[in-house]
Amino acid sequence: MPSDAQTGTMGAATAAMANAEPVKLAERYEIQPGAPIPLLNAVGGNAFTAKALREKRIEPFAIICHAAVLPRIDICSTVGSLDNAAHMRLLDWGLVDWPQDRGRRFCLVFERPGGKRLMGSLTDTLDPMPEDQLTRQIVHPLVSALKELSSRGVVHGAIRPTNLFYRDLASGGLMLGDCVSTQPGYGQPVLLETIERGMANPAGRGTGTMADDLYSLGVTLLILALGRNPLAGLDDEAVLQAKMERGSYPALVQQHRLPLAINEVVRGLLVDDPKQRWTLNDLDLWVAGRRLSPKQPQISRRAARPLEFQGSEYWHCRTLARAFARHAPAAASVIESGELDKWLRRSMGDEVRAEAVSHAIQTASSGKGGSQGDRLVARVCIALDPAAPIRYRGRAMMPDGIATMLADAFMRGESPQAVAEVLANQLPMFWVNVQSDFKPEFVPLVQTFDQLRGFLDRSSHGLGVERVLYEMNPTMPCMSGLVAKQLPTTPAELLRALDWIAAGGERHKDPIDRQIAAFLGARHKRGDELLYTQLGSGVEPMRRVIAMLTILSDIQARTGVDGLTHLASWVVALLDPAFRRFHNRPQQQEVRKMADAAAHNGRLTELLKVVDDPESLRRDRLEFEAAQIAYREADAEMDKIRHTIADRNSIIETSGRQVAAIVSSLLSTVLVAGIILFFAF
Amino acid sequence: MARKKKKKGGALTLILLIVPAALIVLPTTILFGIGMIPTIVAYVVDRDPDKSAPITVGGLNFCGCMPFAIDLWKHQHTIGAAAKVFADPLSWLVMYSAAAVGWGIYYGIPPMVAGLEVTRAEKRVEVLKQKKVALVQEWGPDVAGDYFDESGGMEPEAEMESA
Repeated sequence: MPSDAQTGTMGAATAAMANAEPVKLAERYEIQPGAPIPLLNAVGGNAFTAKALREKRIEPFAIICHAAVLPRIDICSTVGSLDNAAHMRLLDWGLVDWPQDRGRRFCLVFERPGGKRLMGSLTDTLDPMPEDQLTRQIVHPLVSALKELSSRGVVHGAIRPTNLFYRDLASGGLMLGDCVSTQPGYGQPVLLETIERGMANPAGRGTGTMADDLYSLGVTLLILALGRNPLAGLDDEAVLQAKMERGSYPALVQQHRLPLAINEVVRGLLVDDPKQRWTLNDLDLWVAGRRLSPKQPQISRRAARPLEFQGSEYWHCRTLARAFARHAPAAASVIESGELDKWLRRSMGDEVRAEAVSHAIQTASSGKGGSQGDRLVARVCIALDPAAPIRYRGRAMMPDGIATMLADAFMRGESPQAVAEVLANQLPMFWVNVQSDFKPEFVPLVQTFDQLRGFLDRSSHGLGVERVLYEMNPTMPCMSGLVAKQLPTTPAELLRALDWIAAGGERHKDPIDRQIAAFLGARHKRGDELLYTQLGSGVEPMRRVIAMLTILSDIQARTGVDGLTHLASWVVALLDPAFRRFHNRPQQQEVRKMADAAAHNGRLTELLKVVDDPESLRRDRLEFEAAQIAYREADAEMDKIRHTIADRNSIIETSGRQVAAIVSSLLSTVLVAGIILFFAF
Repeated sequence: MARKKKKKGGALTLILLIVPAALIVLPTTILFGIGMIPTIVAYVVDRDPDKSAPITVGGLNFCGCMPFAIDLWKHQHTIGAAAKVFADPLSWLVMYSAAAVGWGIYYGIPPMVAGLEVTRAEKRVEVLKQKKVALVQEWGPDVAGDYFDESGGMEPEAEMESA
C-alpha cells in the first residue's frame, strides 16, 4: 500500500540523476530530473522542478509517474479544463523521456501551490481546526470543487488531509491536490475509504462515485476537527473491523466531542449506506445554513447464535464473509456441510440471504478456471455480503475495479490469473444479480464482462487475458517486454517504440508478441482480426512473419508514421522464409534487394508489396512447375540414353549392321555403275 | 502357320520364275552361282531376320562377279567360257576379295557406328546434366523434388500456400 512520501532522501537513483539534462514535455515545459521536490511527491509519482517555456508567469512543477502505476490519463483533459481555485491546476500532461530508467514516463505538470501540504502524514498532529475555519477553508472550497467535478462526471478519489495544499501563504485558502497520478482510491488509506472500498485491494477499488468522495471528505473533516487521526494506533485491518462492527461514525468519532455543526456534517457524510449518506445537495444546503436531521447509524442484522469458524465466533454476515474469503478451503467445507445454510435460516432468520447463498452454491459449478472450492467460496461471499467487493483467491475488487486490478497486476509483473478467473467464472455477473438495488450502470457493465469473457475463452495471439487488459483499460500503455519502457499508448507510438528498439539492435525476437498483438487488437479495430491467429508459435514461420508485416504495414498506412527504417530492417531480417517462397534464385535475390531498398525507405507497405505480391508469386510458381517438368524430362531422357548405350552389342546388331548394309549397298551401286561403264563400252 | 504358307508360296513363285530364267542364261547363272558362294554362306550363317550380312556381302560380291559376267556376255555366253573364267585364279581372287571387302564392312562398320552413337549419346547426357544443374541453380534443389503431382496440379498444401 503506497503512502505519501514526505522526506527527501537522495537515493542512489536520485544521485545518478543529479547531473541529468532537463527533459522537455512537448516544447512547452522543461522538467529538471536533478531537482526533485520531495514535499510535493504524490502517491503515483515523484515531484520535480519544472519551467514553463511559453508562459513565464506560471510556476509549474511536474509529477513523474512511477513505472508501475497507471495514471488517469482518460480524465486529464477534463481535470485540465477545471477552472476552480480549490483544485490544483493541471497544466499539461504526456510522456517524457526519463533518464533514470532510459525509458519514458507519464508526466503531469501542475501549477505549484504557494503553500505547503496541510498534513504531511496521517500520523501527524496539528491544532484542531475550529468550526468556522473548517467551514471556510475546507467545506466551502471543496464543495465547489466537488460540484464542478461532479458536473463533469469525474470522481476525485484522493480526498484526504495529506492531499490538501495551501493555495498561498497569505490567504490560507486550501485546495485539493492531484487526482490523476493514480486510479481513484489507489493511494487512499483504509481509514478514508468506505467499508466496501476499504475491503478491496487499493488497485481494485474502482472508480467509485461522488458518495465515496463525500465519505472521504467526512473523514478528512473529522481528522482536521480533532487535529489527529482518531484511529492512529490501529492497522488497516483493525480500522476495517472497527468500522464493520460499530459503523463508520461511531468507530471513528468514538467519545470525542466535535463542534455541533461539524458533528452534523461528519455524521451525515460517514453514513455507511450510500443511499442514506449526505449528497452534494445536502452539503450545499448545510453550507447555506440549513440544518438537517441527523442520520441514525443503521445496524446490520445480528444472528441469535454465532457461527464458529476457524476458532472465532461470527455474528454478522459481513464479518463471516470476510473470514470465509480469507480461509477458502475451510469455508468450502463449512458451506458444503450445510452448516452455513442452517445458521442463516435458524440463527440469522434471513431467508432471502439463505436463498441467495443456496443459489450461489448451485451456480458455483459453472465457470472455468480455478478450483471448485475457490469458485464456491467467492460466490457465497458475494451472496453473504452483496455490497462488498468480489473476493477471489486472496484478491478483492469492486466490479468497476477489475480493470485497474488487472492493469496493476501486469504493471507490477504479477500473475493476472486470479483476476482473469474472476471474469471467466462470471463473478461480476453474479455480483450484479445479488444486488438489492438495480442501477442502470449495471447493464453496460454486464454486457462488457460478457464480451470480455469471449476474449478470455480463446488463447490465440490478440486474445486471452492480454486482450481483456487493453479492452478494459483504454489508456493502458502496451506492456510488452519489448516496448514497456517506452509506454506506447497508441498504435503509432508503438510503431515508433518498435523502431527505437530495433535501432538499439534488439532484434532477437519477433516484433509482435502476445502483448503487442492484444494491444493492437484492442487499439487498432480496423485491422483484420484473423491475421492475429497466424502469429502463434505453431504457425509456419513464413505465414507468421507475413502476418506480422501485414499488421504493421496496415498500421503504418493508417497512422502515417514514416521513416521506420530500423523496424523495417528488423522485419527484413525475419523475412527469410518469405523470400524463400520465390523458387527462382535470381528472383529471390532481386526480391531481397528490393526489400532492402524498401526497408531503407522505412515503408512497411512497400516492403509487404515486394514480398507478398500475388502476381509475382503466381508467375514464379508456374515457372517453377515448368522447370520441374523440364527437370523430370531431362532426367527421363538421361535414363533412357544411359540405358541405350549400356548395351553396345545391341547398337552394333541394329543400327551398326544397318549402316554397314547401307554403306555396302551404296558402294556396290557405285561400283556396278563404274564396272558397267568400264567393261561394257 | 499362315506366314509359313506365305513363305512357302513366295519361294515357290521365286523358283518358278528364277529357275527357268536361270536355265535360259545358264553360263551367267553358273558364274554367279559359284562366284557368289560367300553371299550364299552369309545368307545361311546370318540369323538376323533383316539379313544384313548377305546384303552387305552380296552387293560387293556381285560387283566382284560383274566384270566377268560382262566379259562373258560380250564375247561368248557359253558354259565353256564360264569354266574358263573359273580356271583363272585371278577371277576367284577378284570375286572372293570383293566378298571379303563386304565381310570387312559387315564386321568393321557396326563397332564404328556404335562408338559414334555412344559418343553422341554421352555428349547429349552431358548437355542434359548441364541443363539439370542450371535448373537447380536457378530454382533450387526443390526443382528435383516430387511435390508436383502427376495430375498436373499442386498438392493441397501448395494450393493453399498459393491462395
